[in-house]
Amino acid sequence: MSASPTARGRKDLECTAAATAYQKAFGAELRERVVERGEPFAVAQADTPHEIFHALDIPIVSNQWWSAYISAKRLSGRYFKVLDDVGYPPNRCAYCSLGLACSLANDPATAPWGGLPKPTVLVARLTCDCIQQVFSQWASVLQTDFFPMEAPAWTRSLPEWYRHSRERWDEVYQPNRIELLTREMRELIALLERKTGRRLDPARLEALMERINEQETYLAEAAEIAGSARPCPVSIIDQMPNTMIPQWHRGSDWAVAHARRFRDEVRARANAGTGIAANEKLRLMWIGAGLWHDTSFYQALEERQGAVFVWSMYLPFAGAQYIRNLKGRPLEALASRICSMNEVLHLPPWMNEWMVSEAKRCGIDAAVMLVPPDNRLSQSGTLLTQAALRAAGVPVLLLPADMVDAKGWDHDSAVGRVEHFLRTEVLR
Amino acid sequence: MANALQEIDRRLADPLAPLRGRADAVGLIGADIPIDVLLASGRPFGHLPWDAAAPTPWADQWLESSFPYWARSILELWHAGAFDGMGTVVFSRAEDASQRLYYYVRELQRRGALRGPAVAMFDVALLPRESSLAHTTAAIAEIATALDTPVADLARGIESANRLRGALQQLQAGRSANGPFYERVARAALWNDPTPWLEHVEAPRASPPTARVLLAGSAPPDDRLHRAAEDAGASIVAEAHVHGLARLGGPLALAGDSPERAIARRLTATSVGPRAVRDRAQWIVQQASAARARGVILWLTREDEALAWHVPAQRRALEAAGIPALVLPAAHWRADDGALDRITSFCQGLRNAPA
Repeated sequence: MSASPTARGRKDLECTAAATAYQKAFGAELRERVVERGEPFAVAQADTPHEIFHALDIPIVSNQWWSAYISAKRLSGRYFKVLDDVGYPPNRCAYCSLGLACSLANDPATAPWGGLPKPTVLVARLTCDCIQQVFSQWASVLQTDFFPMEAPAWTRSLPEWYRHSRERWDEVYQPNRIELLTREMRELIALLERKTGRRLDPARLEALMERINEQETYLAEAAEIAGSARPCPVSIIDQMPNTMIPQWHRGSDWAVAHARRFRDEVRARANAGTGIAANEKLRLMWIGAGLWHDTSFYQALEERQGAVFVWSMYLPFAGAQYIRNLKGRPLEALASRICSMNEVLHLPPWMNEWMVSEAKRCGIDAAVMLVPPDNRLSQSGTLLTQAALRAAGVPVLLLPADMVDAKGWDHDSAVGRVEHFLRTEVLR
Repeated sequence: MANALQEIDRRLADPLAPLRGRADAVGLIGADIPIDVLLASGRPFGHLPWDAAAPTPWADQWLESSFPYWARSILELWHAGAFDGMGTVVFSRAEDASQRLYYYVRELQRRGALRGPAVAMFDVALLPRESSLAHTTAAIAEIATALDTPVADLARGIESANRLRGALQQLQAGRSANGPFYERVARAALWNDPTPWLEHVEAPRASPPTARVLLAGSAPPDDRLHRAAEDAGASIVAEAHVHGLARLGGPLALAGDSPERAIARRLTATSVGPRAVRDRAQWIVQQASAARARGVILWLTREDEALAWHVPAQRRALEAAGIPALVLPAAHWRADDGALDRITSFCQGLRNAPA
């Protein structure tokens, strides 16, 4: 019997409910600011410099959050049909187009918030060929500006990027890439100042960057505990919201305090020997975006096989990709954080190098890797990473599924595939 | 006449002949790698060929499902050693598949799973903005350096390229039939440096003008789409895709810019790849009008998912311009999905319709 389309997994930590409650309240406040009060706001991809908007007190509707919000309202099917009716061919990439579809539907009666009002700007980094097509058309539907940012080639870096990104970010992320994104951020700041009449205070941005370092350090400490403690005190079902929700608000007092609270709760559980499962036998790694429409999948094999999902990218990514020693250059440090946020997760060698290192750090027994059908960006690097993990002694199951579109998802069959994989390739 | 056909088909049969065993040879992958720089380098060069018929078992181990077939075919040939002995392969960032393939090849070489030439990236940035123009200008200088070509030589490269642009424009202007022949010329000119032989190419005597057709969207593997149109009594007389015969455009003028900046400016203005910023609805109507086309075939492969986002607007624009269109989205690159039959019947319809 397949789970209902949005089956939620069990939450073990108290702070998780606090995070989701905060996000819910934030959604309501965001709606009030943006829809009722008509404040300037931005629609931005997750891998863009949100810090600039925070420093200008311009609220952001992240495209990924808005898509998840639409999916949670079970409207994705309706909106994918709108794209069909408009005449977009079936091989269009769905991952970042739900927002466009909602705006094209232009049906306030059914749209979340009555549909997005006109944003001050749309911002996206061009990490694939589709994003500029979707965002430029979305901007014209909303009659506003689209500010694209280049995703330049990355030909020079350092091995083990995750060990050097905090200090040697110039060398890890390549100076001319940092320079290009810094130039683009200055132009974005000028556009926002012109359109909102506000002025960016460099000191406020620098202070925000330091607060973000504090927040991400708490998350990095939680990741270290999650990887080393036996049994694992926090499953990825709790890791994901307690990492991602503060990331949307990174550097805010709430986000910093929540990250500390999350770290403390993880530490307390580890010290008390409290684990996710009563009999942790297999430590699993989930590679790819979270399965937002069915997080119960991650707990399905805890009792039967003692199989526990201890790792997903969100929590450990905080330390490796976010923390930066500013070295008196906050804007460049920010550019170094943003300019490879997608690349390190989807391109060889950065993706496979990090996955193998994390698998060793966390004592991983096996990995399950999400392979979204026909989405080059999200699939990218999966086969090379599978081979690298196998060479490091970690069996890998490739699971074809979409992270936002539950249409093709069958909970029982997916759990069955993992169970068979564990029995035949891991527990031999 | 037979010489032109034989010359073209000889080059297509063994496209790597001019590059083989040449340690200074330059292979290309992807669109918009500036020919001005390649000509300035004085090295033999050519886009790496693909083999539409051959299976790609080795490449399929590493490339996920959304990689286009031409990328699989090139990686399979690479692994088979077809490009061994070549000096450098330059990948372009003008489209996602070619730039992503760069990282895969480099990683497979790092793991010892792949030999072959050194790899370099032409980091073109196509946003119409000074910071991107400056980035592309620097990328052009970087590629010139990687090919041991002093930037001072680029002006000479532009001159050679302008002569080639003129010859290609002249060939294009004379098209009225023989679509397959011109597709083979374009592919031979892509896979091999055309400057030594293009000017000697004379198009076969044209049969009576038939329904002129524009082919737009993805680049096909060979002349199979052109043959389907020709067999139906029409003729594809122009291509609006990244590897079309007229892809190099008209002569490039420095207009006060440095050579590398002039080349960068030209690329931003004329690129038609998925990362180019342009109104593709307006553009497809302009291309159809310039070709005096009576119909447009908009053929888009499944893997060219970015261009799919422009289909509704392009359909509407062609309809408004009164230009019949056959739109084939999510198509198979080998066109073994019924596309050829649909092209044939569409072209028959064009031919029989009153002009």
